[in-house]
Amino acid sequence: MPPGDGSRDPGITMWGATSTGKTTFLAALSIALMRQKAQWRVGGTDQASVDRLTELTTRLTADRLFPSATQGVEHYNWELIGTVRRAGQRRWRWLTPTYYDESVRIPLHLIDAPGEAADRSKARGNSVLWDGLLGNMVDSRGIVFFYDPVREFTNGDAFTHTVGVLNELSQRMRSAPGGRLPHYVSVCIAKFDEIKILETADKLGLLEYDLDPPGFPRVPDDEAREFFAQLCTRSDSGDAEMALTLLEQTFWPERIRFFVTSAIGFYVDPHLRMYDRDNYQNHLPPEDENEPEPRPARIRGPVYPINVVEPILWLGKSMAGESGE
Amino acid sequence: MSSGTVAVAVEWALWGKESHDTGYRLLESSDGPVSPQTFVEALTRYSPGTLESLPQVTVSWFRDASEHLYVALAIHETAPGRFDAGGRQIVFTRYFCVRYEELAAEAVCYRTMYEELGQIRLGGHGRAMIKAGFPLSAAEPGTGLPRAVAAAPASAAPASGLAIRAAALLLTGRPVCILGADRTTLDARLQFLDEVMSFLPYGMRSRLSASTRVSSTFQDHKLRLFFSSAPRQAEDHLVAWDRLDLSPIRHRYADDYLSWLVNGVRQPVPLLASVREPMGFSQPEILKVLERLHVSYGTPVSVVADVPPGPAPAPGSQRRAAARHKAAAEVAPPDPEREMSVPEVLISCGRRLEGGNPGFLISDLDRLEAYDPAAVTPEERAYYQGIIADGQLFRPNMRIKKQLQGRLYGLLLRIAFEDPLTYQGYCAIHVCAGYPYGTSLHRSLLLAINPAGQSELSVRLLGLHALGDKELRRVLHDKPLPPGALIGAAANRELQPVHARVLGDIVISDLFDRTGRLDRMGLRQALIRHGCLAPALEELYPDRPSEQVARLSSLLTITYGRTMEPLAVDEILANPMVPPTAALFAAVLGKVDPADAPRTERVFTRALISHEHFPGRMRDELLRLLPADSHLGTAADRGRKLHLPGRSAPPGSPGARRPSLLRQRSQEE
Repeated sequence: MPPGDGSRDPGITMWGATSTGKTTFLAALSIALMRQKAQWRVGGTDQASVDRLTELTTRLTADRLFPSATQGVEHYNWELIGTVRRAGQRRWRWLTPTYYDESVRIPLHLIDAPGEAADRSKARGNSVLWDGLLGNMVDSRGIVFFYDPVREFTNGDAFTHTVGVLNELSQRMRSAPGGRLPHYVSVCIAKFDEIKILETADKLGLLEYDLDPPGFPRVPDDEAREFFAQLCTRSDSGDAEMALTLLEQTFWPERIRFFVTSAIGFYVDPHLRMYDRDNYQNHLPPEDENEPEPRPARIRGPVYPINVVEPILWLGKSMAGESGE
Repeated sequence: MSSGTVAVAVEWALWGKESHDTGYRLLESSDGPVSPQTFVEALTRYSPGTLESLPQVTVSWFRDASEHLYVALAIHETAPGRFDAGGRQIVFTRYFCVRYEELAAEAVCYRTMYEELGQIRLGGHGRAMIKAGFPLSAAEPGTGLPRAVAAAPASAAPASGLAIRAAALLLTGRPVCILGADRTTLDARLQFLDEVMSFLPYGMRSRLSASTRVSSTFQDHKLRLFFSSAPRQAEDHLVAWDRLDLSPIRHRYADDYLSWLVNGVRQPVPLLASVREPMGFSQPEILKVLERLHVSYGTPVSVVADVPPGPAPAPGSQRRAAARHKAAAEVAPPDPEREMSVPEVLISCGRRLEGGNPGFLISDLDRLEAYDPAAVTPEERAYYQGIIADGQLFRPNMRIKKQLQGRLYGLLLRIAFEDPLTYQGYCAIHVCAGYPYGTSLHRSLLLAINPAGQSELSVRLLGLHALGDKELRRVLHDKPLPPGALIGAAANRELQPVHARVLGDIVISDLFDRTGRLDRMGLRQALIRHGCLAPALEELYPDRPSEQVARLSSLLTITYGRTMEPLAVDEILANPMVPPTAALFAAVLGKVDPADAPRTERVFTRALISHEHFPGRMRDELLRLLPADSHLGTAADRGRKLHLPGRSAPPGSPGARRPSLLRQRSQEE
């Protein structure tokens, strides 16, 4: 079943440059739902997807390691399982409606492509990955777009990545009504737990703190677009602003939502269980290769994902609503 | 290079990352005719996806700009301390390719390539092509074939039948996915790929893409033959590593080819290895090769040659060595001038049953009866089991008299399985008969096994259960088994999960039925010894705690009655040999007086701490942190009599017992 032939169920494609945290984000999804004690949980619908879900979750929690870099376009057939409250039929109009809980399953056909796939210019000859990503995006109805401000500070290549993919996608979907692509897009401003990002949000006065323990800082969803725009202006390349414009020109603006996310969250002392603004870094860099048995980048403490469920749940619900489910 | 090697020119590439990279790329490549762009295309086209278990090997092919065919071998591996810009472990791929005609000249196999090329380190030594030598000593004497191509040892894969089937499946044009081999070694998997290809013309290696491991969530990979931990959503043929599928492939060419391999040719491997011109897997190419091999495609799967019945010739007329004779038996009709070996008789039985000549079966059964089962080695037994499975000799409906059918089963069990039957043997019967472990063998076969006469308890109970609950109850009622033996059988962690579940329920149900005449003391001792079966139940019902609790609750009721006294709670939860599980705690909690619930909780908590591998001092401090309880103290004393660890309560009030670790922390605050 080749990608791009429309024969697959519409899925959600994870799209972003290399090392923007796409797989870590997926690995954190199940943990995020458990941390929220939410009515929703995530499950796999086939053995391979169940195995991968378990593997990813275990790696992040028990091993406290980040997932390996993705190679090849991976498909995860997961689903969100939960309940929604629905109003029952009234026998007489003047009676108040009765409510009942209905169990709901939102299919999540997630496509995790390596970041290299989105960079045709660098990976010369790598048409397999490029076609894999684009074919799957054509088949998808949802996209999670990852913007890594840390990468943008150092590489300044967000626009280059975005424009190539969107131009190709627009060309392949020329017949889309209204001249815009029909996808729902969750724009994730990733790695909120990184010092630079948190400090920028703080300086911009966009931070709020959760009232409930551990009292994490957050950028509210209605400020997330503004935060993205402000981060783009701080890019050395000066091109990042165009990435935002390009996204909003290519997709229907009402189908784009912005989220400030962190897959691993902030470090919380397991004894104190409170956020400490002087000691919040949860990401440990790799050990020096001269060490006897150097270890890769690790996670310092328990994982507290921030805004990981919300982008996926919004996409899942939007896509389910569109298909009349 | 010595004269004992085949010299080849190797082009190479190194795929991976530098420490400042975030994405994978071509790091270096040789300066031969293959361009860097071709390397990138070939490497990414035949990528096995994201691999967590390394190293792995992928074989593939490509054509260079001059249309020369290459066979490539990629080794995916990590290097200690090599991390990318994101701090992640880098997976490097060492990629080697050799012109196909150079390999074909000596029919070099994948394992030889891996053994020789795997020793070459890449990177930082310039871009020159590598001159490598594949040792000729790796060839099978007299055949010109590498050993791995000529024959693989029986232990490398469950049976060569699996490789034969996989080879035939490849002719359908659909990929073949091998499942259930996660615990095998890279070497065994690579050898299996070689074995599969040894049952196809060598020329097909010029177009094969295969891998010892593929990510099961990588849906769009281009590999034709691969190992995976789970099937993908594609129309792959699935082959189970530990089970031979005996059903027809239902593909004209594949079924005929399978029939030809099994029945129609004397020694297919050397013949196929001699067909070395490049060929692919497209339908016209397959038709061409079938014609060349004289495979009578288009005919239904049938017996190509039958063996005339008659007395066995004198033993002295054997003309071949025993080993070669045995290997040939699977693929060639037996020579009428010599005595038939056991494999030949077994194959003959299958043909007679399949070919509608059951009348001649008696002569084969007479031959089987003449063999001494005591002289059969375990390896031979495993080999015979493979033939029984291949020939479906344990199938239920044979269109022969019941008596003859029973005799056949009995003789097969006698020659191919241990006597008395072990649990492993019982499982092997399931595999041979093509019955999944969760299903009951058919009645005729079960009667031939005679479960009531078996000495191994698990075999006896599972067999009787398969015969019907009535039979099981009758035997258990006539001669009740000691509770200790029953609990011991149910606690056996080496059983297949589905068998363990059945056995557990048989045991609980039997103990429940004979409440009045039960040796309760023996049962209590057995329960303590096996942790009330709680660890086994946790393994069997990992996501179903309520099922664990229901079974544990039944066992506790049988042993202690409807309610449990504190002494019994201590006996079960504070068991020094086996830590309690959450389900066991729940079952006990449901049986204690509500007033004893807090105490029960404390016993459970203490038991957990005692069983965790905390350093001694930390464990003592944790135990001291728990609230004091005079009743518990008494129970602890009782526990000491039962040799329970870590139960001594420290003197003084709870405040005075604050551990030094926490005191230090509060001072800092």
